[in-house]
Amino acid sequence: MNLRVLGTAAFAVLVIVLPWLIPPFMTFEFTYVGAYTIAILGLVILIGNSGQISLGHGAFVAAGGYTVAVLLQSLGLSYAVSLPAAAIVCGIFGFGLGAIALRLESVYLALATFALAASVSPLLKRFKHLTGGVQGISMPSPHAPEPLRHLIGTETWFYYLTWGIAAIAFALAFAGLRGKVGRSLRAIRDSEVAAVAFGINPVFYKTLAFGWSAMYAGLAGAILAIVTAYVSPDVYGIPLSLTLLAGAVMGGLDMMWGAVIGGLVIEFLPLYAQRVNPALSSVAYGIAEIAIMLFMPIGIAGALQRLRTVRS
Amino acid sequence: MKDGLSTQNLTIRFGGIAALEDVSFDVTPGQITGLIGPNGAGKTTCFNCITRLYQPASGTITFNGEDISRVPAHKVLDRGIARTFQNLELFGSMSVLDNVQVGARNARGAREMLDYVGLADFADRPVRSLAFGARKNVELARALATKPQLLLLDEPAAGFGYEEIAVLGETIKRVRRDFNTTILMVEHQMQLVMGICDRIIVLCSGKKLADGNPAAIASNREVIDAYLGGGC
Repeated sequence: MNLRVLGTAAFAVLVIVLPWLIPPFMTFEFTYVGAYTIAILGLVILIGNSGQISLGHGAFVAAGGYTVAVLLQSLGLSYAVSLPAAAIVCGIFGFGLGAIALRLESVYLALATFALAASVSPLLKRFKHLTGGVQGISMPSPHAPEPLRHLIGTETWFYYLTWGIAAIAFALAFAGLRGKVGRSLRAIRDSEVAAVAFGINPVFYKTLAFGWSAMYAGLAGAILAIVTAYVSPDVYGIPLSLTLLAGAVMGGLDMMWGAVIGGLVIEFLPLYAQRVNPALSSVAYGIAEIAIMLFMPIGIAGALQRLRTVRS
Repeated sequence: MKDGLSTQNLTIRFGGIAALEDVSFDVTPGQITGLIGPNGAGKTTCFNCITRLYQPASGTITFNGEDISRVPAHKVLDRGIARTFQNLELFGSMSVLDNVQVGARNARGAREMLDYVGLADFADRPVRSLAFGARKNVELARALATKPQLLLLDEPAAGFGYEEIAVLGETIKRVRRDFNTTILMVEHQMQLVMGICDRIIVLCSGKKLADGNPAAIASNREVIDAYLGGGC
């Protein structure tokens, strides 16, 4: 228990000092890690706790990105309004889709969400007047607010903002999952008949999990869009959805901090795979993924946890 | 207004076969009632209708005067009805305490129940790691944690040996006394049924065959024939 508090504190300190230890371009990369972490945390809630699968969370990332782009660029709203608005829009979107997902299980749910992932890019191209079609939407880069502007650069400011949002996302997930909500979600996953007999409404909790995870994916999408200052349809194809799922599984679905590991893996593994052999980068990436799943079937976080238990 | 549970002309069919047909019975508050019958008689189906997992084709189920045959399954617990399952339905990934806490209002209530069934020392263990008998007690604790007015036990003796059954009988009687609860129990084990039930309802092929006190049931010609394979 104490170790958990200590670990969290050490991690927080590391996140805070990191930008001062690494070159600026890497700050950018770690901002991406933060955004991916938030999206993957959503999948840990959905898959790890409620037992529903999604191959289509890239759709919510897209929805978050485009919501923020439209609000910022077309409507001229501020970041402080656009970011939470994107999260709320995606939460509602996810809640609606969660109601449909209720009727589907396992492989059927996987297929339906896969169809969702596949439909994103064509849909974005179709509604040109709103989404800018194939060109997408560009937006201005964010600047640090006035008093901070002289102390830190834009990329550092956004790094802190991203990890600040991630901290809130984690706090919310921790508070939610350790209590009645988390217990109810896991109860439904383990035995739906028993959960129902003990007063848990599966319809409510399953849609809640879907909406909650979609909100996190949307938030991640909004951050990614602002950092890259650009949204375009082809970023949000099927590979994005699958990458997020792979990150969640490799990080570990049972533990929240597996999301951080998942974020690190999906940001850095392709980069290193490229270094091994530029022509075979996706092969190297695939082999690394297989190796992780082979040796750590409950994810990297799960494997580390087990190592600790074995030692003590 | 009638207190306790009663069913009137309960009928449910699966693919044209009547699993229950016109089954009517009352469960007197404060009693231990046994629901027995040969395999396929409809005992668990009957439980599943009462707990609203199945929707009967016709007939009603009333509890404390309220018709509960349209109440959603997750609201049955609010009415004061809790159950255990024939093949354990625990929350396998969770700790013993968390399992019981799903039924309890808070962690303290859950710990009290674990104490009651003698599993206080196992609270933080994963429920999976417990032996079969202990897991059955976790199910009992989870149901008791809801302070039920009516407790449905689905084959509590299944998998138990002779001596364990004697202990179980005492436990069930103690539960009725300590929790002031009504018990309806599906059971095959006659030693237990005859030993602790105030009343016994016999189902056979989806119909009610007999209803009475243990002595009357034990000497009922039709019941004996049904159990000896004579059909009903």
